[in-house]
Formats: sequence, structure tokens, C-alpha cells
Amino acid sequence: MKRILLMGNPNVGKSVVFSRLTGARVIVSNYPGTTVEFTKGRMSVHGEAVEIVDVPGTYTLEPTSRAEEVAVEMLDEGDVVIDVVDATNLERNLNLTLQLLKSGKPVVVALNMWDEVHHKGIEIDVDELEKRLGVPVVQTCGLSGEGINRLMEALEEAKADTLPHEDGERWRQVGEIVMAVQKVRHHHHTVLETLSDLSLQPLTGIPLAVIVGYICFEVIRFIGEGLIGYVFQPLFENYWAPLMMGLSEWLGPGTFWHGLLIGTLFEGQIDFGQSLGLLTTGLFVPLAAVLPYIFAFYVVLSFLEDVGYLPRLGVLVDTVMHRLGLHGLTIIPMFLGLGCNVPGALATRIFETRRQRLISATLMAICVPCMAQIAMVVGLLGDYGARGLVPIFGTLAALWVVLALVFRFAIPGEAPEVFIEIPPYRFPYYRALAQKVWMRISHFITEAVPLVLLGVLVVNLLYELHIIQILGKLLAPVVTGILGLPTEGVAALLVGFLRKDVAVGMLAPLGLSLKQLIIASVVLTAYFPCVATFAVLFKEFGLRDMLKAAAVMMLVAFATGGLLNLLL
Amino acid sequence: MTRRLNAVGIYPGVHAIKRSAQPLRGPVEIQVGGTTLAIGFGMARRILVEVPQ
Repeated sequence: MKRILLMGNPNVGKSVVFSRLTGARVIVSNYPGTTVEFTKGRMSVHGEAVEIVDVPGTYTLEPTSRAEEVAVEMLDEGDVVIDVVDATNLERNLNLTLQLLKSGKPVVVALNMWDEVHHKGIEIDVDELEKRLGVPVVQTCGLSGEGINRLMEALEEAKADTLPHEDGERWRQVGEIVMAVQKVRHHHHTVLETLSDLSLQPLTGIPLAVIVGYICFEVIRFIGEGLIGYVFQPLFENYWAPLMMGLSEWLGPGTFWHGLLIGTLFEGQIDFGQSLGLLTTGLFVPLAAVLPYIFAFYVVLSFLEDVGYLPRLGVLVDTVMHRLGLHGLTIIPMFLGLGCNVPGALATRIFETRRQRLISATLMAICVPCMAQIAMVVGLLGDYGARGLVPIFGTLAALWVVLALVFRFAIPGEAPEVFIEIPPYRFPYYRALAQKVWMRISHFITEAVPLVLLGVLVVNLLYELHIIQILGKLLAPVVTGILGLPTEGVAALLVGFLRKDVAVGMLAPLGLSLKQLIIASVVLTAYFPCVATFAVLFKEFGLRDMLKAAAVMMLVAFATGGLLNLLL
Repeated sequence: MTRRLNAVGIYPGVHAIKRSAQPLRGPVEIQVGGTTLAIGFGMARRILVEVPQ
């Protein structure tokens, strides 16, 4: 089967074109490096099935990072290249185009973001550009789908090796082409450009970052609490509970199936948080307690991504981050990790060095709780207010700083310097934004909900088979001795490997004191990544480094838990 | 380093504008053509510039 590659500089909209071509849904954002692994899709061109590959962005065919290496490796295996070019930034983009034009692969050029060209006062003579490059050039707008059909038709006429040149002469040649095909009218600073400068100037940027952070926090809380309080909680209490009570009576309390599906009754009633049945707690935790916050978080994150704020924040905090031995952009995997640790771990691929990737992935796995877990912790300790939540998140934040410093000096090497393109601010395109939020939510429903059910099932089985009771006795010195938790806490630690939200939920019926809740929440965040994150870390870093990281996690978690037990 | 700078369009003779800089030897933001880049202080200070009259 023929393989078509979508290649181009970072953040030119390759993934948007990809999803237009294939109908496949992929995550797109407004910052370089959103696509860190290649995505494949299929479509038919003139009745022939072809494979189409969304290759991570690269500035050059002489790779300078892991993501760029992937891009160059992919080039060897492709048959035709669609070179996606940001039309508003012709000069820089053509450098790669010229390299592709001597790579031996047939090329078609897509002049993407064509809709933005006029706003920016740029005029491009497409016919002249086509003549000079010697390959078809098609104007496209990925977001609206304009030009995509013509791009497919142009594939037939793709040509290879049309513009021979010396490597050292490339920029001069690009300059000549741009001079000949492009006219730029002077245009005044737009509001967005002024805002961009303001968010990068330290004097205005830092207050702005604080304001943005505060607004995000409030919006997430407002949406999350609102959905739970006014939609999901009433839905479960008023409609699902009577149904389940009926089922409970029909099955009869005490029977095996009742224990599995409904769980324990409290004073003859179902308690969705604590009953631990598949159809009660198993559905309530992911859908009513966690999903609203996941939704709220992804609305906010996706908005920030599409506006293009994250790289600016990364640059703003870089000075401080380098003092901790980290790269400013470390905030990107951390933010993604707050939603779910899996995409967070994958996002570390934006870093050039393995050291930097391993450190940021480990820091994230230990100190960044995912939104599912945060939602459960907030639900569990919400009544205590700041008295409960500040010690938990404060400890994790402090741990993050301390560990970063330890890694800085313990692992030889330096954090590479910042080197990132700052994308222009853009107004998010609401359909793309809605699609991205929907993708992330449906990912949660299909991937996480089954694991939640499995988690609840495992708990029931472990109790049924008396494994929890035995392990509880064995691990009592650690769990009770060091952490000061009851032996039943072992069950939560075991289930935490499957789903941390279920694990936090299991703390509810134990009747823990505030101090114990704080310790358990911190330990559950830090001690080990959940199985999905574990799998990604293993894939990214191999068995040896994964085991090393896991050993660090265990050690840190129990040391921190023990310390809290002594101090609080 | 020159290879990476070259790849994004920073090469001898190019016209560049410094837009802002972070304090305490933090990254420097420069604009070349339609591209704004943030580059680390160590890299930025090794770029020699000539100020136009």
C-alpha cells in the first residue's frame, strides 16, 4: 500500500490537515510539539487505498530532538510527501521544503493557514511559487477544509528532486524565492500581538500568569462542582438509587451477586461512595464524581492550548525552573499530567535529552495527581476545606521541588536551554475545541471506566478470598507502623495500581482521621503510577530505568508518608 | 547550536528583533521574519549582532 507522509515545521497544522484527510480524530493545539509520535490513518485516493501518516513537526532533516528523529526515520518509509507549509511564515517553512525537494521523494506543497494570510497583510503569488519549486502548490485551510480536495488531486502530479542546490546555499535560495513570490504590506500591531508581548514581559507577564491561573482554578471548580451538585448527584440519587434498591431486594442482601453488583448496604440504604458494588460505586465514581472535573479540566486546558498560552508560560517560568535543574517547558507534561498521567508522560518527548525526559516523567508520576484522583480527594476531604487540601497539595508541591533538586545533583548532566517557537495567539476555533474536549472525555470513558469496574471487582475478590486480610497482617509494620494507617489501607494501595480514584474512594468507609486521610492521599499519589501510566513509562524508558524510577517512587512515598505521620 | 539556529531561520546576515528578555539570565525572545523564538541565555549571548544605524 502506498504511504503518504504529512511533513512540515512544528505547529503549521499538519494534524488538522490529517484529520481532514482521514476523518480520524487527533489532538491538535497551538504550540509546537503536540504530535510527538506519528499517527496513521487510511483513506482512498482515486479508488486506491493509501496509508497516510501524520509525522511530528521538524525544522530540518538534520534532526535535533527525538521527535525530529522520528520524522526523519519516517521519511525513508514514505512514498509521497505532502509538505505542509505555514503560509504566514513562508521563509522559515521553505527551508524544510527545499530539503524535502532534494530528498528523492515526490513532494506536493500545501500552503496551509491560507485564511490567515490576508489578515496579516501578506500576498503570495502561488503560480510563481509553483513554477519556482517545480511541484504542485495548493492553498489549504485545514480548519475549514478548504483546498483539501484539490490537495488530493495534486498528489498525482507530485515530483521529486526538482530543485537541486548546495546545503550552504539554501537560505539564500529561499530568500530569492520569497522575494519573488511574496509581498508584505505593513500592518499595525494587533491586539493579540500586543497581548503576546505583555505575556512575555516579566513585569506584566507574571501578574498575568497569576490571574490566568486563578481564573482557570475558579472555572474548573465552578463547572465541576456545578455538574456534580446539580446534574450527576441528583441523577444518581433520584433515578438510579431506586432502581438499584429494587435490584437489591430482588437479589437479597448477603448473596454473592448482591455483594458484587450492589455491595454493602449502610442502614439498609445504598451509599454510592462506599457500597463498593459494580453498579453502585463502580458507576458512581467514574461518572458522577470524576467525569465532571475531567470535563471541566479539559475545557480549560484545551482552551489554553489552542490560544497558545502554554509555551509563553514555559518561557516565563524557565529562569526559576533552570535553578531547579529543569527546562521551562516541563510545565507542559505537568499540566497534561494533571488531566491524566498517560499523555503527560508522552509529552516529555518534546525534550531533546533522555535525562530531561526521564526526570520530568518521574517527577510527574510521583507528584502530579491526575484529575480523577484530585476529584476523589476533593470529594473526600472537601468538608475540611483548606485544612485538608492544603497539606496534601502543599506536600506534593514541596516534594516536587525537593525531588527536582535531588535529581539535578544526583543525575549527571544539565537541563538543555530553552529553544522554542512562540506561536502567535489565536482565537480557538470552537468546533476544533469541542472536538478535542470530546475526544479526551471519550478516551476517559472507554479506557478508564472499564479499569474502574475492574478495580471494584478486584477489591471484592480480594476480600472474598481473604487476601486483603492476609496481606494486611503481612504489611502491617509498614502501613500501620510507618504510615499510621489501619491495615485495611493495604486494599487501597493494591487497587491504586489499577485506578487511583477507586483507591481514594476506598478510604471513605475506613473512618480515617484528617491526619490519616492526608497521609493516605499523599502516599496514593506518589507510591506508584497506575497501570496505564506504568505501561507508557515502560514503553518510553525501558525496563531498567522504569524499575529505577519505581524504586524511587516507593522510597519517596513511604518516606514522605512516614514524615507526615511524625509531623502532623 | 548553529545547526539548530540555522534550521529555524537564524543565520548570518538575517534581520532579527529582540522582543523581550527574562531577568537573571533567562531566555531571550527574538523575532525573525514571522517567527518568534525563545532561546536560552547561553545560546542568545553567542549570537553577535550589528545594530542598524
